[in-house]
Amino acid sequence: MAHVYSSSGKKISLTLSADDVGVRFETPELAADAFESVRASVARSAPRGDTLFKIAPRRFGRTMLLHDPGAARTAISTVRNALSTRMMSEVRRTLPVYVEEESQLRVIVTREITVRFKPKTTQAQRTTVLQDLNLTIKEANEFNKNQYLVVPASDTDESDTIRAANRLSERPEVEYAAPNFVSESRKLAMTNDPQLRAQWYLNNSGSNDGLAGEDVRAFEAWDITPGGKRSIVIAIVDDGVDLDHPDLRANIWVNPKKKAADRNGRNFFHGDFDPRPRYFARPFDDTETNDIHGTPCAGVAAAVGNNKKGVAGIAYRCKILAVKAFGGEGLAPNDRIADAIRYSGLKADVISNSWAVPRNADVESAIDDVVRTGRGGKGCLVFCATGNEYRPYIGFPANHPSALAVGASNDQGKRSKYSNRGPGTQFVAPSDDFDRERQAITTTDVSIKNRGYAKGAYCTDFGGTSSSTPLAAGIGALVLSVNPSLTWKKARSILRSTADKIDREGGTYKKGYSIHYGYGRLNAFKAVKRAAGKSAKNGGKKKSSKKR
Amino acid sequence: MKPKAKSGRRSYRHGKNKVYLQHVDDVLAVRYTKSKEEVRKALTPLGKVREVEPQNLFIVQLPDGSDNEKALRQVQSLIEHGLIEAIVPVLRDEESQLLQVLTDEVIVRFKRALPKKQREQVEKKFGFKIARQNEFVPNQFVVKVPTAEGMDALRVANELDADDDVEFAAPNFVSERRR
Repeated sequence: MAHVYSSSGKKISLTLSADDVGVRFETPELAADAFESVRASVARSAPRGDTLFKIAPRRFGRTMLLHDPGAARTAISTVRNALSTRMMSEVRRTLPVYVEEESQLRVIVTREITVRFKPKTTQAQRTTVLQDLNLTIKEANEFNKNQYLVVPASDTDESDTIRAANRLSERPEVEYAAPNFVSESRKLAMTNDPQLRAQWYLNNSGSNDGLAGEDVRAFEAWDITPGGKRSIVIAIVDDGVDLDHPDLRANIWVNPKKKAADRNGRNFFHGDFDPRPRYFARPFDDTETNDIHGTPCAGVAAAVGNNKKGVAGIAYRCKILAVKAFGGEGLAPNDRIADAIRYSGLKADVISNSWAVPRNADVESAIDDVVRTGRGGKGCLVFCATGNEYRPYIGFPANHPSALAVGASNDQGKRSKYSNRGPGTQFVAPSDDFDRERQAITTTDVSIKNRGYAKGAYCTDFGGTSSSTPLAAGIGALVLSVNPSLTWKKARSILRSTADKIDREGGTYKKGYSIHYGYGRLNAFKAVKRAAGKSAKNGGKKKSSKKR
Repeated sequence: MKPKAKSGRRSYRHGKNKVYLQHVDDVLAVRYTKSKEEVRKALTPLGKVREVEPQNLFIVQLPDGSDNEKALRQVQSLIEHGLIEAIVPVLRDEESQLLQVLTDEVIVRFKRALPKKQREQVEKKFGFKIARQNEFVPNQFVVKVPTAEGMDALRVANELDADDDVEFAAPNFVSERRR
């Protein structure tokens, strides 16, 4: 057990982690390259169970965190071997990682110490204190003239940093001193939703036997945007959305025309304007006879985040358009399904379809209509589930050329066994894999008492390509949030080019495409970053002409 | 690999392709007129009853080993009692293996907007009545074929689809969805 002093003089207890090790690079770009290199190396090594088995990295700016049982004892040569030749020379040693006792969050120790001197100390006194401890100023703080970032004057090991910081803080001239940790806490505090940790598909930390890093990198994407400013709208075409759900209500689309009949969406199944779930029959958790499917889908896409309630959707500041096309017993007229899509195209930017029906011309034409005329002619993104029937071909409308067909991957970065695959598959996104007893999806559930998959307002056992599809739709919404000027084809191109090629050995990728994984597992961070970059190049021409 | 088509099937044109449908004899669909609950009560002993409320339809899945002919006769007697309007064909899409109930409606999209007089000519030529115009696509309509029973909707859809003025035509099936 080690400890450091906080600014209030309180002892902060730290335990050296035996299972984590940090690596730091000169620039974030080099760190990003190294990160991808190690991820790929892990993926290649995993089936063979060699030295790097299970080490899956995380990245915080310039620093990479490697996690594996006994990782702290990993030889530097092992880490260097996982990097490309160009980056090997960058890594001279690994950094110790501690777990902070109170929060159980990890901190990576660097050579840097933050020190604030008492205001009345002279410059000479400050210099003497630093020289006594063999420290030198790396940079002065921009906002406080008494504060500096200091480092050892000689090339000492990072393991000395905590001791040096403590010795510094004990000096009478010093107000406080603390190691400048690279801290995990900022990432995990991205939203304050209490069930966020259970949402492994957003950020897989390796808990519950998941494989760390096998996720859509939502937290890093949220650093850029959680959606919002431009009110990108995601239509959930399904059996209704619980508009009154406490974790959805604030994100439900509201028609700006106050007298409009479609206040929050529409019900095409019954031909009215109330898109709430309507049919419930015993057993109330049976998907086939209850309107309980659309609400979990909506939560995966855009449950309200940072509201201290339940879960966060991947696009937690985007809006949800509830469009009811199905009800109760699972049959619906084709023209009503097609019109539900056409209506969505008038109001929404992204359309999520977690269902399959027999191929039909009207639904096909509806998809063609919304990619041609939606978003003021830029086209809606239409995500469709590939289906859960273990088949070597994908269902309709996922197989329509203008649809973005989404399969499911599990918490190990492998295709979920049930997920239909085959030509036309565009992407996979994380979901459950019940055949292999992998983690399922925690999301919103119908909040009416004793209705839905669970008794409360949240369920922990959602899954299927039904769940991966709204997750993909939410990522599409984030992409459009940072760059609304993208056409649907350009957005598709970004999603394709930034997807992670998971399971390289089993995926049989040819020219970057796999019939199991399409272009790979969606990577929200890379997609949003790429889209934001394209937006900057467009000179800020981002205005959407679409009326809602 | 997709399931191979089987013999004894029906089809309708879908662009340049055909969609193949299999007859289903262990599922019955009926369109009720009134006394919905009375009809449901009469159908319940036959098998699992599913309702498609907006279309006034009940779908009955007959259990394995049941006498399908006998069940059909029992349902036909409901027509004689004035409880149901028609027994509606139920087909299975070969590609998805999902059920499709053939209604008396066909969806047709014309290549351009048709003036009223021209629409009347088309109605006369193909023997249907335009039931409603699509809310979002002005040159798209749902038309009603003369009979709710039999395969009229398939025939009309195929004839319309081959017409030079038509972009597409397809039966307005009530489709089973899978989640």
